[in-house]
Amino acid sequence: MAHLNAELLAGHALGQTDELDAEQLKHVASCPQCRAEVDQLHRIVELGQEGPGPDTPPIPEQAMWRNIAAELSIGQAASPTPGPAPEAGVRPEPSQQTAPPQGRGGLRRGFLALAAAIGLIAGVGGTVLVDNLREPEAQVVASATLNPLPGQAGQGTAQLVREGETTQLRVSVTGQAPPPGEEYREVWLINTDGERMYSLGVLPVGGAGAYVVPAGLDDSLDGFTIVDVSLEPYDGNAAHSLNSQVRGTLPV
Amino acid sequence: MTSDLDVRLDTEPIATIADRVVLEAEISRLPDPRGTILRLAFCEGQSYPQIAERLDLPLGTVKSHARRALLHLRTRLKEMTSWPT
Repeated sequence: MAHLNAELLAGHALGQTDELDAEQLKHVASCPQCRAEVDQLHRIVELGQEGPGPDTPPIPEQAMWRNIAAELSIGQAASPTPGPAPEAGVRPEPSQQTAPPQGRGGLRRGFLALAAAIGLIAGVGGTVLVDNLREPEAQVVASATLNPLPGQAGQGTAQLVREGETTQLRVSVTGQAPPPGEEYREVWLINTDGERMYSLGVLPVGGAGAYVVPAGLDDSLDGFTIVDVSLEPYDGNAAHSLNSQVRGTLPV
Repeated sequence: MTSDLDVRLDTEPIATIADRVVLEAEISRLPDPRGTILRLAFCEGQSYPQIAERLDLPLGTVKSHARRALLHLRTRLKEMTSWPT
């Protein structure tokens, strides 16, 4: 018999075997081509099931936008990713649980401003003091080759450099830059747990940039060792485009 | 049975991790109710009848959404990562 269509194979991979009749089930069991396709689709199901729990997906982003919108009093229109329709009744809105009580916001902001001012004074003073004592030496802690992803051109290097208290990632990518106005490139640190990432910033058109790595990560970057350079559309969406040009792992 | 895919995943954990990040982000971009259906099925391990009842949708619709979402995710993985074609 003919091969099964993609949708039937997807159903099979999702455990919807009651959608197939006896002849179709027999075919899948004996046809290497259909079997391979089911296996591949099933691997995606497994990857999805291994992922983080149900609370992780887009909700933090939605909550963040809702809080920003609330603060600016601009209402629902500001949300770039509308949440599930209320009638779907899927789960309670977490933002309402996590939003700080309004009354304390002012106090907290005041405290933060004070803390920031103290930090600035201490920081400037501290830097001057350290500068007077010695020039910090830049030390390359780790470096990685960035290889192109399938279908992409280019090659790059990433160096993790410690200079005094600051850790920097120096990234250099050769190969054609995307046409300005269509796409730009962004540098990311992805965690090996596969669940978290930091955006370090925009890669200049020239292909070389240096980025301060968030302080507080340990010597092995707390697992944020995958350096990724993505191609980003000008869509104002802060999330990774999922379209990467080059990628490599720092051996730390 | 060990396919080429399994071998690749064993020898290239970074690729798997990247695939998972991509998959996670793609699932979060699926429009509702498709995204919700897939999250309930994947993350909470709910059965199709449970999801249908919870979202008040016909069972056939829920199953069909899940199938199409899976095919969409495969297309995106092929486009965006090292996923074999």
